[in-house]
Amino acid sequence: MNSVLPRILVVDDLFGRELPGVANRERENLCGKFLLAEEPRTDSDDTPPFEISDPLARVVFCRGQLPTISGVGATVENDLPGTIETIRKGWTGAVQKGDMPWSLLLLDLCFYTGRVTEESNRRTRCMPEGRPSDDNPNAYFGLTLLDAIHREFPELPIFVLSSKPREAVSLEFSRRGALGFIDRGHSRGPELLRDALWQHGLVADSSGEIVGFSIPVLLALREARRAARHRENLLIRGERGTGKEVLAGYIHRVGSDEIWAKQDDNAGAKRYSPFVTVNSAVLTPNLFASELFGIQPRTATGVDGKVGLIEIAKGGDLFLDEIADTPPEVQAALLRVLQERKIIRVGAREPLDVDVRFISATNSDVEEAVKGFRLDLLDRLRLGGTIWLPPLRDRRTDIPILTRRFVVEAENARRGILTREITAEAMEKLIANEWSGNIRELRACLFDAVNRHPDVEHLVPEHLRLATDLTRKAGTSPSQSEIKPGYLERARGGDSLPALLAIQAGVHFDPRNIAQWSGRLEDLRRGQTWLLARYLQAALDATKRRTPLHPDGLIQIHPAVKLITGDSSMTASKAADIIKRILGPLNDELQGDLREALDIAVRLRPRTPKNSSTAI
Amino acid sequence: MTRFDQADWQNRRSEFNHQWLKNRLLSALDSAANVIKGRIRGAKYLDAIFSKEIAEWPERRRDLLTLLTDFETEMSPRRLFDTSPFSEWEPDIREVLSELLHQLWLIRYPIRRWISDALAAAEAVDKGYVELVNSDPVERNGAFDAQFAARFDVFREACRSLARNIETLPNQILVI
Repeated sequence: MNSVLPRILVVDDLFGRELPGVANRERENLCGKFLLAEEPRTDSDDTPPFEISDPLARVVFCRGQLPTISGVGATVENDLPGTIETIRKGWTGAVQKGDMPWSLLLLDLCFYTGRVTEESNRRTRCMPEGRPSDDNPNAYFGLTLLDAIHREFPELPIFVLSSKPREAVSLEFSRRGALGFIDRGHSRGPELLRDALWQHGLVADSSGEIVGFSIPVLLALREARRAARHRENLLIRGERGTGKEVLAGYIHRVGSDEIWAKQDDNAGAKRYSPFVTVNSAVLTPNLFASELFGIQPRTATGVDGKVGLIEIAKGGDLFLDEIADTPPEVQAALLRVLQERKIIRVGAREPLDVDVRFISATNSDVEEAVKGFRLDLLDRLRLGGTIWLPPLRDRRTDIPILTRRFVVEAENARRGILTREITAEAMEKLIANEWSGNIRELRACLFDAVNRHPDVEHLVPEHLRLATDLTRKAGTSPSQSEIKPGYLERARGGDSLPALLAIQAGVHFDPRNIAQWSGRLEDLRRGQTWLLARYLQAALDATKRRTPLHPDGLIQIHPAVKLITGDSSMTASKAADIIKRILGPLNDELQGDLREALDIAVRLRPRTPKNSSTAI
Repeated sequence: MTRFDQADWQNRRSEFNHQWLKNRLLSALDSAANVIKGRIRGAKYLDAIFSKEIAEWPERRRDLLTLLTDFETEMSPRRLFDTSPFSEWEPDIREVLSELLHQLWLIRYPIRRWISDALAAAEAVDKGYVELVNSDPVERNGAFDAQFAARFDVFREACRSLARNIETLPNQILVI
């Protein structure tokens, strides 16, 4: 099965139930209606009853209840923890393995519980009678699930899929984080699902130009697809070598409907529009006017005309890379074009209308005054939005798939080079590297490795020449951690926790190379302790109580600990114990809020309880 | 105001419209449409839809007709008088007032039009069913016979229209 296909999870009591010895007809028909290819299950030999020539997505079903198989006499109950665990496996678990996470979750609202009787089984096989509370729109289990899922997986896009009336629940599902509602019985249901995937789903690039299944990349692709639907100018931001031009190409492609038109019943001729890349070398004070606006032909003087790049891009997109380096004269000219939507060729008198979307890119903080970039131009360049591309260190789980791609490319670029396997140790070294030059640097490193070792069947760590080494020097303070605020924090002020967990999952201590890691227990422990301290600091900031007398806020340790543990029933004394365990080892080094939090905790709980442990 | 036990008619309506018509039949028909359009390959699957979901229509039709016939009786506000304290009133008074309330309800809401629209929609489904099952789903070179495809679409739309008509019926007893 195509592994780039989107992957949908459907949580529904009717479609998710398993039937002993027979197929779930309702599930089959749902798949046939929405053109969803069910993923083969390891515990089943069932073959699908049909073949879909062009599936919209892969699909996995979850009942959301226990038991999954319920014959007459069984009692069916809703299963919140089990459902969350299923989602977690396909979300965090998939990311850690470098697989595609859930692109979209389709969630039913009403889950019927209770006993499976002869009568209820006759009506719908293996379904229970239902209880009156099941059908109460204020208490649908689907809304409870929605709450829990959105809290733990805020980036996971969720749509409600139900045949219940939308009006009764639209406010509630909107409040709880669902992005939309698809009526199961709607005649245009498949089109609505396709649209939902396109607009809101975490969908990889099916063309394979942008490689990766990590959540930061899928989020960037989603922003790109949303932006592609309108013709407003866009700004792409990201460090050097992150693929800004490739993303601009993606925006252009999806905006031209090349990818989605083929799914349309009424697909007409594909609409092609130009995509012009402006080489930043031509944006000099002497050259820019003729290159961008063109030259008016004048037969009287024998001047040959030239069509400018903006005119060539008419009806399409013009990509301007490294916009921050543009000289002031060019900025002024561009600003006029963006304001008036007209150009005047060099030597012409009459302006020409232009319908061009400008997609710009930069790796700089253009807002900084020292850069001298006109903010009024910047505002027009990002009128349609800003898309952030993550650095490679924020998407380490994509390194294996990128590596395999680049190694094959390098092998194919020259004749006579052997095909090689990449050893696990080499891959670990690649994953652990900092990659300040991002994807471009990774590609260069792998091409270098392949070209210097054309006659081997294995790529080993010794073949790799890396610019940086991630090994920490002994004694470096963990508070100057290398996990610097990256793309996720800068762009959204949110957390980099998924990336951090992915990094941790990828760390490997090689028993054959003990020199690299022996004697570092104290460093590792301090690193973990400071990480927890920073986690706690964020919670203290988030839960500060601000009053007129204390505008900077008073810290509150009880709400802060509830926040980091997710335990709303936590008592104040237990919260104090947790603070002491986290911060106690750092007692002599604390300042500010953390110092104050520890002091409060010690005042509340002067003695450590007898049954406490050092672990949280 | 005393709450009525309208659960029985609602349960029957839910079973027909929600659980069978929308969740089973229409879902199967939408999937079958993809077979007919060539998006799905599976001749046996299409046969199964005809022999299972579509074949249930004649029996389900009987349930539906009973459901629609029972609506005016089971969902009329005259049932209020079967519950306390109204059930303790004098029989003569109860009879007059309940009939008055029932007639006001019929005037206030287009109950009988709703029912006749639903019956007409059921008849359209029935007609479409007969024509469809008498068609020959001949497939040549991956394409189905045009007449069969057209009759299928008519039947599917009739079913969708029926679902909409049944949804129009109120989901609680309306008291003036």
